[in-house]
Amino acid sequence: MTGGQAMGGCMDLGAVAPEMVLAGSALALVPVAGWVRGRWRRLPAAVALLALLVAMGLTAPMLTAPPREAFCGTYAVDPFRGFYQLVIEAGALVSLLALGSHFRGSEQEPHHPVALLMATVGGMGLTAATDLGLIILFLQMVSFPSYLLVLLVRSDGPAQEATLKYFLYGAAALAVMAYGLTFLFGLTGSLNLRAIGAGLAGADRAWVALAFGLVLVGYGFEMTLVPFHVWAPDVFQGGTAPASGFVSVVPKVAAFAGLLRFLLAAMPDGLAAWPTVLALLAAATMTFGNLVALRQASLKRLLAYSSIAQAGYVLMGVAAAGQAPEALPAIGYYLAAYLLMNLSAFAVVAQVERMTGSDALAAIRGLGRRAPGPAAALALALLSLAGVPPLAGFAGKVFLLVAAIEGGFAWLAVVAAANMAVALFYYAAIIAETYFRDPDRAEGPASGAGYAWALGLCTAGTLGLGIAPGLGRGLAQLGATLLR
Amino acid sequence: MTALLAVPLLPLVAAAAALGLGRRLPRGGGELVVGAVALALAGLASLPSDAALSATWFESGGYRLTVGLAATPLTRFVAAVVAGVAVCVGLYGLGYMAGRDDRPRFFAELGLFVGAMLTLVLSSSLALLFAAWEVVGLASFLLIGFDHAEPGAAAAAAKAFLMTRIGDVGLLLGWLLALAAVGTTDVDALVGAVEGGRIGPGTVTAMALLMLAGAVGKSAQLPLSAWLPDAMVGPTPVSALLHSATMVAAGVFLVLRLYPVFAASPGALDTLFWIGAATALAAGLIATAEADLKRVLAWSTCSQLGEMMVALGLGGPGAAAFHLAAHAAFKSTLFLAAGIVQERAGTRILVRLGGLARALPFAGAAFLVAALSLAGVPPLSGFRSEEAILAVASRHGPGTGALVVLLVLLGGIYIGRAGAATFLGRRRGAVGPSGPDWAMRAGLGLLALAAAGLGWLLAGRFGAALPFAAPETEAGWRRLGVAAGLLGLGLGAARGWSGAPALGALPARLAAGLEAVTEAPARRTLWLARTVPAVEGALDAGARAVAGWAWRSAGWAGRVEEGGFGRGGDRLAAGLAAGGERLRALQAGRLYLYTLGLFAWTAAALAAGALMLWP
Repeated sequence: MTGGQAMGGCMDLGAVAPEMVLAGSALALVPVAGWVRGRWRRLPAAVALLALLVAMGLTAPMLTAPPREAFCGTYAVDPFRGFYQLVIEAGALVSLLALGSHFRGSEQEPHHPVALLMATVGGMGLTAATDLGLIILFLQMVSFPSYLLVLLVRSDGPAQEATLKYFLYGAAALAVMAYGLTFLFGLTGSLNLRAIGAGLAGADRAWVALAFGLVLVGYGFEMTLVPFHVWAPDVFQGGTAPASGFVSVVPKVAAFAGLLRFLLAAMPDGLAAWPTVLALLAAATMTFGNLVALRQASLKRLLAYSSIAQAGYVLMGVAAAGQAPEALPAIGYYLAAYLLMNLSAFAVVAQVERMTGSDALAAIRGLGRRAPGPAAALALALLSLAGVPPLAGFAGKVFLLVAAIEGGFAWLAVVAAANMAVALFYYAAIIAETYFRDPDRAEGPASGAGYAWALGLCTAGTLGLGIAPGLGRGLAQLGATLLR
Repeated sequence: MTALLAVPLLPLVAAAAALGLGRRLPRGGGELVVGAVALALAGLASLPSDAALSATWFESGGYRLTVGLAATPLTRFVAAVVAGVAVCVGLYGLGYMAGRDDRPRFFAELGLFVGAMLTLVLSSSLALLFAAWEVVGLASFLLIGFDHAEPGAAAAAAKAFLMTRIGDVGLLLGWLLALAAVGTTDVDALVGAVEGGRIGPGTVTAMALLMLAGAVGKSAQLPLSAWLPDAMVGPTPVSALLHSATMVAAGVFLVLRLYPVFAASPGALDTLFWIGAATALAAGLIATAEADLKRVLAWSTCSQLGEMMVALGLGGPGAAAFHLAAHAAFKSTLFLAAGIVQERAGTRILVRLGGLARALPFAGAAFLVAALSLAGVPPLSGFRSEEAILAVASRHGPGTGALVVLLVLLGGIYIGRAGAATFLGRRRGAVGPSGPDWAMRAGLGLLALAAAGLGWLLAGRFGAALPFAAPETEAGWRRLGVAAGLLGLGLGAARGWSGAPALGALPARLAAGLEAVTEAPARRTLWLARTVPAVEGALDAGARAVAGWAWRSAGWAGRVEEGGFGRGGDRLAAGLAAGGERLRALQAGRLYLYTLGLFAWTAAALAAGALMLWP
C-alpha cells in the first residue's frame, strides 16, 4: 500500500501537460493518418499545428515557475525546461509549416506530422529528464521519429541510404552512451542526476572520466560534434530539405539542453575536466565544419557543415557554462537565433528543391530576380549565420564570445573569431550566386502558404532578435534558472 | 540630429532605390546615388559642431553595447573626404557605366559602400564601427567581382575578402577586449579610460595591436598587402573610390580615431612605424617595375598608406590626416585618368601604351596635375601633406627624415615612369575613337582641381579644425623633399620612357617573393579545405561500408524470409486460419463476445485494484 501512496504522491500530470498534449495528438493521429484520403490528408498537419500551439501555451507559464521536481525526482519543472521546450516547440512549428507545404498533395502528407510530434515530445522530455533511464529513453524518442522523417521523401532518392546511416550510427552512439550511464549508476548507486552529482564527489576520477567520455558520445551524436558528426552531411543531403531543417534544429537544441542539465547537475565543479574537453571539441568542431563547408557545391551539404560549425560555437558557451554566469543565457539566445536562421535557410532550399529537383548551388543562381522574397530571406538568414550585424546571429556570437572570455577560454574566443571570419566567405558565396548571377532557368521556386509563413516567422524573428536583442536575452536569462 | 542620421542613411536609401527603380531611369539609378551622396555632403557641411547621437543597443550582463554617430572635427573631416570623392567618382561612374545592363546593381553596391563607409567614419561606437567595417568589406568583395566575365575577378574578390578578414578578426577581438575592459563600446569612454590610466598597460598594448591587425588588413599593409593589386580587376570607379581613396584608408582612419589608445602604448606605435616603413619601401620599389598601369597605382597606394602609418607611428596624426585627404584626391584622379586610358587604348599594359597626350589631352592634364602632386611638387596638395610628414619625421631624427625623403623620391620615380610611358613618346598601340562623355570629364576635372588646391585649403581653415598640432618643417628638409620629388620624376620619366622597369628587375623579383609569402595563409586555408574532405571521405567510406554490408545482409535476410520463413509462415497462417474457421463454426461467431468479455474482466480487475490502493 505504501508503494501506491508514494506513487500517488509522485504523480504530477500537470508537470507533463505539454508533452501529454503532443503525445496524445500523435497517438490519436496514428490511425487517422492511415485512413484519410483526398483533401482530408491535410487534417493531421492541422491537428498537429493546433496541438503545438496549445503545448506552447501550456509551456509558457513554466518560464516563471519556481524550480521543483516531479515524478519522484525523475522530471524537472523549472524555467530552464520551459525556455528550451518553447524553443523546441517553435522549431517544430516552423518545420511543420514548411513540411506541410512541401508534402502538399502527396502520399506522405498525412504521415509527417505524426513523426514530427513524436520527435518533438522526445526532445522536450530530454530537456526536463533528470533520471538516467529517462534520458536514454528520450534520446531514443527524439531519434527514431527523426529517422522516419528523413525517410519521407516525395520521390525515391538517396533517402534510404541516409536513413540507414543515421539509424545505424545513432543506434551505436546511443548504445555507447547507455553503457557510459551504467558506469555512473555503478559509481553512485543512483539514477538521479543530482544524487549522482553528490555521489561522484568522492568517486575515482578515472572512472568518472571514462563514464563522461562514453556519455558524451550520445549527446555529441545529436549535436553533430566532431568526431560524431559523420552522419550529418549524408543525412541532410539525403533527406528532403524541410526534414533536414528539422533534424538540424530540434534534436540539436534538445541535446544541448540535455547536456547542460547533465553537466550542471551530475558533474558539478568541472568534474572530469569537462570544460577543457568541451572547449577542445568546440574548437575542432567549428574549425572542421567551416573548412569543409568552404568547398561544398550542394546547398544541403553546405548547410550541414555550417550547422556543424554552429554547434561548435554553441559548445564554446557550454564549455564556459560552469564558470561564467553569462554563458547560460548566451547559449539560450544563440540556440533560439540558430533555430530561426537555420530553418529559414532550409525553407528556401526546400522551395528551390521542390521546383528544380536539385539543391546544387547553381539551382539558386539568380534567385534574387526570380523570387525576391525568398532570396532576401535566404540572404538575411545566411548573413545572420555568418554573424553580420544587426542580425540575431551577431548579437548571439557576441554573447558567446563574451561568455567564453569570462569563462577563461580567451584562446577559444580567438579560434572562434577566426572561424567566423572564414565562414562569412562561403555564406557570401551563396548570396553572390543568388543576386549577382543571371538565372539559368526561368521558373521560380515552389510557393505555398506554409513556406511563406515559415519564412516570414523566421525572418521576423531573426531581425527582431538582432535589432532588439534585449528581449530575447531577457527570456534566455529567465531560462537560465535550473533545478540543481 | 536628424541631419547627422541622414548622412549615412541617404546613400543607403538611394542604393535600395537604384536597385528597385534603376532599370527605368536613364542613368540606371546612378543619378539617385550621386544625388544622395551630394546631399549627404551638404548635410555634413550644415551639421552643428559636435553633433552626436547615441543609444544603447543591448546590454549583456554588465556590458553595454551602444550604437551612435558623432560629428567630431576628425570624423567630419574624413567623412567630407569620403563623400566628396564619392560624388566625383560617382559622376565619373555615370559615364563609365553608360549603356550597361547591370548598372543598377553597380550603383546599388556603390551606394551601399558609401553609406557603410560614412557610418564607419561617423560612428561613435566600436560595435557600430565594426558592423560598418564588415559591410564595407562585403561591398568591396561584391564590387571587385562585379565583372564576373573578367578572368580572375572571382579569385581576386575572394582573395581580397579572405586576406582582409584575417585582419578583421583582430579588430573583432580588439573591440571585444575593449568591451571587457571598459564595459561599453563607446569610443569616448574607451579613450577616457585609456587616458585616465584605468586600463593596465598590457591590456592597452594588446588592444592596440589587435586593432592594428584590422588596420593592416584593410589598408593593405605588409604582410596582408597582396590583395590590393589583384583587386584592380574591378571596374575603375571602384578602384578609385574603394581601393585608393576611402576603403583602404579606413585602416589609417581607425588608428586616427583611436589615436590615444595607440599613443598610450609605445610598443604599438613602434610596430605601426615599422610596418608602415616596410610597406612603404617595398611597395614603392615594386611600383617602379610593375607592368600594368593600374597595378602601379595600387602598389603606390600601399606605399602612400605606409607613409601615413609612418607618420602615425612617429606621433604625427595631423600629418597622417592631411595626407589621407590629399592622397584621396590625387590618387583617385590618377585612377580615373587611367580608366579613360584603358577605355580608349583597350589595355593597361605600359609597354603597349605611350604617346596618348595628343589623343587624350584632358586625361593627360589631370594625370599630370595628380602626378606632380604625388611627387610633392609645390604648391599642389601632395606637397603640403608630404611636407607635414617630413616635419614629423625630421623632428624625430635624421634617419626617419631620410626615410621620408627616400619615399618621396621613389614616388617620383614610379609615377614619372607611369606618366611618361603612358602619355609621352611614341604611340605603341591603336587608340579607339570616342572620347569620354561629360560626366566622366566632370568627375575627373573636379578631382584634379581638388588634387591641386586641397593643400591650400588644408593648410588654412580645414586643417585648423583638426584637433592635432602640426609642426613646422625646417627649410633645409623642405628643399630636400622637393628636390627628391623632382629628381624622382625626371629619373622615372627618363628610365621608364618605354614602359621598362625604372630601377632594374630586382623590384619585380621582390614582388614575386612577397606574393608567395603573403599568400601562404590563404593557400594554406584552401589546402586544408581540400585535405580535410579526404579524411572525411575515409571516415565516410568506413561508415558506408558498414551501411552497405548491413543493407546487403538485410536483403539476404529478406530473401531467406521470403523463401523459407515466409512460405512456412504462410502455410502456418493458412493452417491457423483453417483451424480458426473450424473453431468459428464450433463457437458460432461468439468468439468476439468472449474476447470482449476478457477485456471487460481486465478492466474490472484494474478498477478494483485502483479502488483498493486509493488512500
